Amino acid sequence: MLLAAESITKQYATVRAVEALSFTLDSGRIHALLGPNGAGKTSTVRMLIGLTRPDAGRIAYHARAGVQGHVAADELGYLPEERGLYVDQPVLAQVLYLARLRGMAGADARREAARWLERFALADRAKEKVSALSKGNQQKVQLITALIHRPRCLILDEPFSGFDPINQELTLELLRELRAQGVGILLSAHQMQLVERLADRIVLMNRGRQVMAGTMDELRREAGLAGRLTLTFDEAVPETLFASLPGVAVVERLASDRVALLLGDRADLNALLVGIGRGARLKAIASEAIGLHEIYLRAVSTIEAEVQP
Amino acid sequence: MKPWSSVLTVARWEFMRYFKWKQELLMFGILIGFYALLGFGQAALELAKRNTEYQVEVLNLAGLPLGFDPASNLKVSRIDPGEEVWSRRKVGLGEIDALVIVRSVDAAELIAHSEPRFMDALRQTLDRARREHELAAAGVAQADFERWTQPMTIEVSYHEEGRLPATRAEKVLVIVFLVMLLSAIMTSFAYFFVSITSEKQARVAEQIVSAIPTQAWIDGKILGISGHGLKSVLYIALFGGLALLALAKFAPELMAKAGGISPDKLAVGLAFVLLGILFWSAFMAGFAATIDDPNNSARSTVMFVPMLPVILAFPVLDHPELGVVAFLSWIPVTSMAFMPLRHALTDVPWWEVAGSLALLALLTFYMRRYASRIFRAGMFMYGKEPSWREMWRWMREPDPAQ
Repeated sequence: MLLAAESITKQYATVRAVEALSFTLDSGRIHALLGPNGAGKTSTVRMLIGLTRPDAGRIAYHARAGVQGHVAADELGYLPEERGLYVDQPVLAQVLYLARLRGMAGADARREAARWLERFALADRAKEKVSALSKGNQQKVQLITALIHRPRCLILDEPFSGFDPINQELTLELLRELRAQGVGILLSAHQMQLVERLADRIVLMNRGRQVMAGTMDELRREAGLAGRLTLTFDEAVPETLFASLPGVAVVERLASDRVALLLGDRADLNALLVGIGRGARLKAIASEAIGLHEIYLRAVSTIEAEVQP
Repeated sequence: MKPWSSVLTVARWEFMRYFKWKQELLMFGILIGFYALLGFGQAALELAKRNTEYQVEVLNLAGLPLGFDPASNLKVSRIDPGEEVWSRRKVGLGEIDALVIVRSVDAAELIAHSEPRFMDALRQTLDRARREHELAAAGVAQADFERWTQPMTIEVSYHEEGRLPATRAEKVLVIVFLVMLLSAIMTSFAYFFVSITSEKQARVAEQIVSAIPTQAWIDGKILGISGHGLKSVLYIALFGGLALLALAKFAPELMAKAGGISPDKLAVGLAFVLLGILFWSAFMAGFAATIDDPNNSARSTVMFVPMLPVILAFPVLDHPELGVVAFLSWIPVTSMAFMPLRHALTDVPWWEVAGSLALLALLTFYMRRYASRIFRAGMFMYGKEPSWREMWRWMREPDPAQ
């Protein structure tokens, strides 16, 4: 195990930002921390990197030098949510500075900087000021500063922010590559489809607490949802027609003649299809596994509904 | 990374962020050009003054023994009473610069075409003529009068158990120290303000603090940005040195009169100046982190506090022996200005100098620690400024990463 948070809690003046949160991260694994704004992700990250201390609970990071109460600075690669760069300074100078602060020797830093700038297609802009770069390129520089010193543990807050789809895919590839090299990665992102494709394990948070945690399959099971059927008829159909069918957890109306059925993990598809066939004339049917997006929305909305007076 | 290595990396970065070779050389070029132009302008002005002649006509109704120096640029012609009207007309036309009518021993009238720039030369001539006339009337010889009006010769010596006064050079040295301190503080103040408020707005703090301890960051900042304060001190020393060289070359008698500077006074002054710069830099680093918007914050004015001790020191330059000066030379927030002043101009026991320096060093050590704590909390507070109570609380909270 690389990193473990055991029942950590953080209280600010009037807000309990994190409450009894537990999770682990192993080397060569990617874990995602998801939740709406104010869920406690940033507070959790700040405790993990040592900016603040938990009021209760314990963080154990298994550094090369032994167990520490937060991720060791020279083994940490950190990408903050807010871009934190000296915009009035040249790209290369800035990358070298942050690499030196992470403990790299000057020559190593220069060699690695050249390699990463080349990989991110920024080599010819190394002497330009950061302010002259586009948002996407600034994010690339930020990512380089997080990776250049070959960290054992990467904490990435919104790593895909500012990237176009092509660069999102390149980042996805890069993170898989790092995972294969044994780096433990904890990330937070709003691009659910990318997280779903990338993360080995996901922790869903809301109001400082862990709502669900596990692999995608485990989350599906825990959410009680297995798949999604999208049905299109040749005429308008009432929703009530489907609510009583066996195994249907949720009915979503998409159009007057189109509905989506979210199926429970024990749904009997044969019986279900018989039931659907008894109604209006079916034009098309599409089936897909339930996505993180639905699980996330349902988990968060369930919690929100519980805390509403 | 070892803490000192981090401190030096940050110090180098902070210094180089604002150090641009081109700008420095340009500034040097402009300054040298400015002084050259100033010198050239002054020389040209003197030459123009020397070559300008003033045509003046004098109607001496009192019969004073007027004698004008033919080498002077005041060119005088005497006229008779019958020529007065024509002479006035010439003044009006600008053909001559002025008409002087000496009406009596005590009064003369000057009719000028424009502002009389020859007034000093004219007044000296009239005064001398009047004095000669009065001395002759009183039967006093000119040589006797001049001997009487010479100042009394006083030979000064100091008792071997007494204290030698500060030389003129040492008095100048105190002013140089104060100017250095003021210049360094103002320079550091500007850079700290720009550096920290821009970092806060660019949100780089999380990135840095996740890599090194806040204390290492603030120490590096203090060293790096104080480097710009020191740079201004070096520039003053450099230009001062050039001025001394020029003085030694063109006015050696002035240099001889100024006397020497004892090395211990130089060393003590520099030690206080350097520690003073570090002390106020630590203060400014912590305080700047609490300012959210530099354009609208009322707190910006507090950043001028470091200049007060230096400004307060100037009025007491002529009274270094006052009790209040001795008191302020012990207080760490003022000692960097008052102890060099006292030490250079009076006798100060070595233990007082050492004690005051130790106090200043101790307070500087704690100031950087408290600055780090305020900085750590202040850099993560966005959108509002902390209250004084919050800042006091932060100062007492140790860094969780240490």
